[in-house]
Amino acid sequence: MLLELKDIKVSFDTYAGEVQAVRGVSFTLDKGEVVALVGESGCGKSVTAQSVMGLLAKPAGRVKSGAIFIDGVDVTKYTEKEWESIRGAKVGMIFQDPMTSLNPTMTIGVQICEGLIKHQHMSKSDAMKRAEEMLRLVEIPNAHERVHQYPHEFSGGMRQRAMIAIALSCNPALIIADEPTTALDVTIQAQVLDLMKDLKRKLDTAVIIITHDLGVVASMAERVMVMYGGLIVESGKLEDVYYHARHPYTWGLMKSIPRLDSTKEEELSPIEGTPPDLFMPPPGCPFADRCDWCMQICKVSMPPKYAVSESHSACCWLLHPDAPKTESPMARIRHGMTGAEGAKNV
Amino acid sequence: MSDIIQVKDLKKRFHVAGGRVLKAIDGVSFSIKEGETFGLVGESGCGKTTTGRVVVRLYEPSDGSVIYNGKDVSKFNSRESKQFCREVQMIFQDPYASLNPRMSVEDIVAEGLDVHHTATKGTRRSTVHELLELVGLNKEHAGRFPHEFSGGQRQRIGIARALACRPKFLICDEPISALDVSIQAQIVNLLMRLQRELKLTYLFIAHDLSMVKYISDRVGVMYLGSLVEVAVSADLYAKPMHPYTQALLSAIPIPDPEVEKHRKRVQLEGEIPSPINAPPGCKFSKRCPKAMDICSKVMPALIEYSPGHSAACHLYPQTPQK
Amino acid sequence: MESTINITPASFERVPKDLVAAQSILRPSLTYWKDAWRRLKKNKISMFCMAFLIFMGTLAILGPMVFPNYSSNNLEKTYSKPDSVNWFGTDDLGRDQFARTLRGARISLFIGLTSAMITVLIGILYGGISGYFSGWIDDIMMRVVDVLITIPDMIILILLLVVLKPGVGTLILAMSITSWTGMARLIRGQVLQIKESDFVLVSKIIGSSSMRIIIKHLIPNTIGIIIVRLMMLIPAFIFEEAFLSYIGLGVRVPEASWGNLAEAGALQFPNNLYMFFIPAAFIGTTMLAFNLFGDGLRDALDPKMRK
Repeated sequence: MLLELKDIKVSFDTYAGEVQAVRGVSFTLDKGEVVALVGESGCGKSVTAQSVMGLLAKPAGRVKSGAIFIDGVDVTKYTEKEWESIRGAKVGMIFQDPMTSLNPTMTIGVQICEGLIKHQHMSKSDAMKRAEEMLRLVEIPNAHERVHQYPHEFSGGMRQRAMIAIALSCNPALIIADEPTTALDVTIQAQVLDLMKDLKRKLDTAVIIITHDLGVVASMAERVMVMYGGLIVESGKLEDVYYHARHPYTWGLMKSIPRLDSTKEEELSPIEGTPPDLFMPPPGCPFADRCDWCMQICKVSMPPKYAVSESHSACCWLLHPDAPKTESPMARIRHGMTGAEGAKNV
Repeated sequence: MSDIIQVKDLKKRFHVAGGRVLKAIDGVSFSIKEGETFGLVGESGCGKTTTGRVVVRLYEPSDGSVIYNGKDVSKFNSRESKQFCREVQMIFQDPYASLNPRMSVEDIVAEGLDVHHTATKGTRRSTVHELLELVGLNKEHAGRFPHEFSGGQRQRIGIARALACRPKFLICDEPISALDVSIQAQIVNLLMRLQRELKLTYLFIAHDLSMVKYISDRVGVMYLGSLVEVAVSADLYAKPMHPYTQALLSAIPIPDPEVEKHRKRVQLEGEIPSPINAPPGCKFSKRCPKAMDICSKVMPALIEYSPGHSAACHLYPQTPQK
Repeated sequence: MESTINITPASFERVPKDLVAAQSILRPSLTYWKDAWRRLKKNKISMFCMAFLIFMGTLAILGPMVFPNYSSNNLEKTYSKPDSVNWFGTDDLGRDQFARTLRGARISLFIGLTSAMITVLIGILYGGISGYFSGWIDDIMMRVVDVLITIPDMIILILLLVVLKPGVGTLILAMSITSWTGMARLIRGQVLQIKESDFVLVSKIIGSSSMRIIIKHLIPNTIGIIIVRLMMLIPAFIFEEAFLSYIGLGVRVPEASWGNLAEAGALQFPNNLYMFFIPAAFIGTTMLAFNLFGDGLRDALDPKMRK
């Protein structure tokens, strides 16, 4: 097991009080797996990723409780120095905005070399050669010249590729990609996603991809974890979550996104209301106020995790043995699949 | 159903440092009928936002004309200009930048009322409350300030502000791009409901084709300042004619693992070029998988090939079809 | 976990969605100013400086009223060290230094404040017009500023102070004339930036007049910066006055300012140290207080530092 999060709770101290950004997240990741953390803003997915890299904004942000094991070592107690030794070497990160995450005053080559010199103790010239190799790996044309250029001389898509090159330079076992294509144009996004899939195949890196785009998840991930209100509300294999989802929030998400291959006749049903303010999180299920299937108990206490199958689980009171049977709306949500497949529910 | 807006051979040039010319819009023509939603899509640098701003008269066109209700807007007298200001409004993309952080929600929403003197002291507050409820917010929100609201709520405030003038035509410039997925659907549904209730016409500018397809009646695809294809929504997605449209559609990931696995992608090489000092001929020729010799020399004209479906491409006969 | 919760059949009864709860805003409403004040209050140093400045201001206003004898000579008691009669000692003409220091507070603070306000006003007008109208107006106005900046301040100051009668008024005029350019540039930059904001564009689309845009949108969003800059300008002017008085161009005796008190003390150096260090201390601490308070104010007014 490469990564394990055990009941992680992360809070931020703000003027109004404590904001509980992550309220008990646990999951594991094996070598070479691609896992997606899906959710909307404020659900805690980015904060979870930041805690795995030790990048929480200090002093306001802190891991309140829980443990994060990278290769068996609990990193929540790490000092900054210890973090520096694994960042880049064991865990790499790709950020959303390539404009602001690259240093405008250093050439791309030098930025790639930083990690190589620090973690792999390469000489400057060896590191530069490797940097050029990396640029070729991420399919940047004219790598030999490009390696000496500055970020502003690259286009958005190329900058993102350069970031991928930096993240992969020391061959880390895990890459965290935080909304890697959100800021890119559609055709460029397609190129970058294909590149990422290709690289993952070649280098067998484990990837945690954080996004709100369910299309990107469908094309990249093997497992999916849906987050809401600081918690993982549903998790399972790709097909489990897309075709047999059991949590009303997942149903709501699927119903509210328009699909290119659907006809206009189907209504978009949004999820009414807004996500909860994590400054005073509700005592029960965070989705209760917006849930069409809300029950008494949902408002009062947090649902435990129920296993739907070996690979699939959801935190919802509807899965309690005594709860009334509900028909999953997934059958109606899915278009273009045969009736038998689509109608599989409870 | 008459045309509320017509754009005729619109051109907008910007002069950038170094004496170079940025052709943001390079000869765009389309028309929008009353009551319909016209979607305008494209990637960075295609000129869709600039087009929206020229139509709303924030920018003056370098060439070509914008015709509103049959009259050229550059020939408006002051009364007609004022009327245009009331009847044509815009909703912006960034909910965090489009509201003055120092003004209360009430003052923000009432700006149109104040400028055009359409409400008295007595009716101002009640009109604001009405507008807030129309967009799905509460009365009590009127006394608060923008920083206290979420992105989706701010966008609703922006919509309420646009509606204060009782407009007929709304230009929505990427109104949902900055919002969360489930909130996007809320706003889009709100816009569609308002369109039905208030008989509005929309120019919907966006880069999210799935959403544009859902909300629009007709869609225009722009690339580097030119319109490459215009069609009725369903036709564009079912039978795209222009290679760029085809590439664009195939690049969008679909939230369905099985479909994604079996999809055939049109791979585009290279980056989106800069609109500064654009080459002659079809702007897409350098990246087009089906480019021919003539493409880099002669600009293809936008020609209608079937009812409501036009494309600008040398792959199709270049003489007007009738 | 489950065993600690009471689960009854009623637990599974359907409850309608509570959208009002989902929409309500939990945190108390804060205007920009209330929020800034709250953040300022947390900054202990700034609050201390504010108290200090209020104290100094009170001294400046009330002090000379309570101790008015700043210019009466007492030739029997010249250069006397601080004692129970003259708390700060006396100077070369036996004048009470304490009263003179209080008078100096009033004069120096008055000069500092007034110069700062005039500078800000000219700057707002000039920079605001230049930034708002852009185009050739902006070009010309900024070229003028560029030229003015190249003329050394000292030359203008000396010229003005020699030509016009020396005194508080001349000093204020001269100092303001040489400082407004910086403020104008700052305001122009701010205006240029805010002018392109979406909410200003919306206002234009709605059909607002330029006047309305300036008053309702541009000014409220630049006031924060203006106030902070004002806080930083005041100590600069206090110091400038001190310096000018030091070289003899400032406030003249028998009028008292911290500047000319320090000058008188410096002439005695290293004798009668109290004559130098007391006014110097007043100048130093007041400048420091303004600067630290200005720092704290800037942090409090910066919306990015909220979360």
